[in-house]
Amino acid sequence: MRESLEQIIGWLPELLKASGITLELTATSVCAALVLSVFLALGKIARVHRDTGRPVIDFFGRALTGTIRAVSSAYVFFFRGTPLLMQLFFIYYTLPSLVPAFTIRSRFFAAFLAFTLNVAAYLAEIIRAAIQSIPKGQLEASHALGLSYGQTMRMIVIPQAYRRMIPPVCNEFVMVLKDTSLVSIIALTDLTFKTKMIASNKASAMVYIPAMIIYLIMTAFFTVVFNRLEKRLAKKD
Amino acid sequence: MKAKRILSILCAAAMLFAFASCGESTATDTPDAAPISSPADFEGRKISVQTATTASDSLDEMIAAGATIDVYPYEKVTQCFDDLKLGRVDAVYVDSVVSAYYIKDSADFVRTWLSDVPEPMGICLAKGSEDLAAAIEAALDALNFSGQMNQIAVDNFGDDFTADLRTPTEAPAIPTEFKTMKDGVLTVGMEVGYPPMEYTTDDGAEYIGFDVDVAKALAELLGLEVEFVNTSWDGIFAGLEKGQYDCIISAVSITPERQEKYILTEPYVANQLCIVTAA
Repeated sequence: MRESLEQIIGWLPELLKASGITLELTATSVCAALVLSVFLALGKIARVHRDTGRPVIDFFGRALTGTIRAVSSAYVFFFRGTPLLMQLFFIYYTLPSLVPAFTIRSRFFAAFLAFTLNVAAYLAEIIRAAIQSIPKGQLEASHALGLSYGQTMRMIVIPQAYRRMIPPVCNEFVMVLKDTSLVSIIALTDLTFKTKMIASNKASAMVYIPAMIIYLIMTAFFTVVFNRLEKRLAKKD
Repeated sequence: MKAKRILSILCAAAMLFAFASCGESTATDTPDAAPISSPADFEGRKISVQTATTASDSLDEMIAAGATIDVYPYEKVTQCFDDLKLGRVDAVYVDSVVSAYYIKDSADFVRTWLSDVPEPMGICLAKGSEDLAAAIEAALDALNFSGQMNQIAVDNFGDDFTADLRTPTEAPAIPTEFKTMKDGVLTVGMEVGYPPMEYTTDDGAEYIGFDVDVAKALAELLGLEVEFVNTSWDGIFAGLEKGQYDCIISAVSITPERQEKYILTEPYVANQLCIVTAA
């Protein structure tokens, strides 16, 4: 028992170093995905809300929003409908052999790109659902009060939707933190990769214990932080 | 309002961090660097290797001795060669039996160095399977005596890597007293995806390769059916310890550490470490 405890302590520096990559990848890709997902979500609900009365302009307006909607929906459909592991392989191996100019040299960047593109699709759905969850009656009421569509969005819908999307977005963050274990297949030394390497080299399965504890600590930390954030925002209601 | 501000600062910091770490690994690009013609040239270069192999152990030793090598460790050797082809790494450090396959099939790769330390391969069994090991040992000799082994080597490598390893002067008697996990079946563990030793046909439906042919020939001599268990390389020895298969026939290099923990037969195919670079 004491022997394995000493062993575990010996592994810790390497494991913690690898956890840094895991955290870095999660934080950066979720942040980038948030930016991308706002555009995707807005793209999915883009509509012409008031006609100008000039047929040509109205026609092009409808065509434009229609295209934006189709592109955003196709994006979300594709990235939610295929496994993340395959998207990672696709970006790392298939894309460079199809188009040599897209050869990504940095393993971190390849992983970052795959996660950003994938997570953005999920976040876009969260944001869209939050916006559309605001009861229609409120929209009608604000229209009756003489507010424009933009004003309604800015002053009525977004502030409420913003609070509603916080819990699922935080949940997504914790999911991504665990999903980053997939990057071990492209030799990025995250926590999972390091753990597997120690397990195979020294033939010791004990290493999974400290590794899982580190994952637990990380997820526990973010859960607590996000819970506080949620409570603070809820106070304003 | 305050929470929003803190969040946006955190986001910005994270993005900066990301771009900094992306730049790190691309900054070391040295397209005009000297060709790698021995492990001494690994210093500061990108080398891909399969995890938990003797090549990876050898790299670890070099790093422990003070070398700075940017190692790209992959679970599959095929990924190493994909990376070399895409120009992401400068060289692959690998078994010579594998390099032979890649050099033969493609004008993209060249072998620039071959170790003069032989590292032949053997069949690996768990401690306690001494009877089966003796039977396999005798069957290997019989295959060499009949010339079947040389034929398998030529078929798979285009060259006889088994010559001079075993030179039985008479046909050995094959013991019949041995136990396998399943009656009448020789269960063989291997990591399929290591051409030309064990890999699949183009459609992925069938296992082929040198080890596959050897296993089939061995089983026939021992009067057994053969069954393959495909497993990942970094878990292959753990699987043997857990009794998931009777033996590993999967390009296992004979090393003192492995000989200590498991039973390894005498060599059945010659091998040494080598370096492959893009042509």
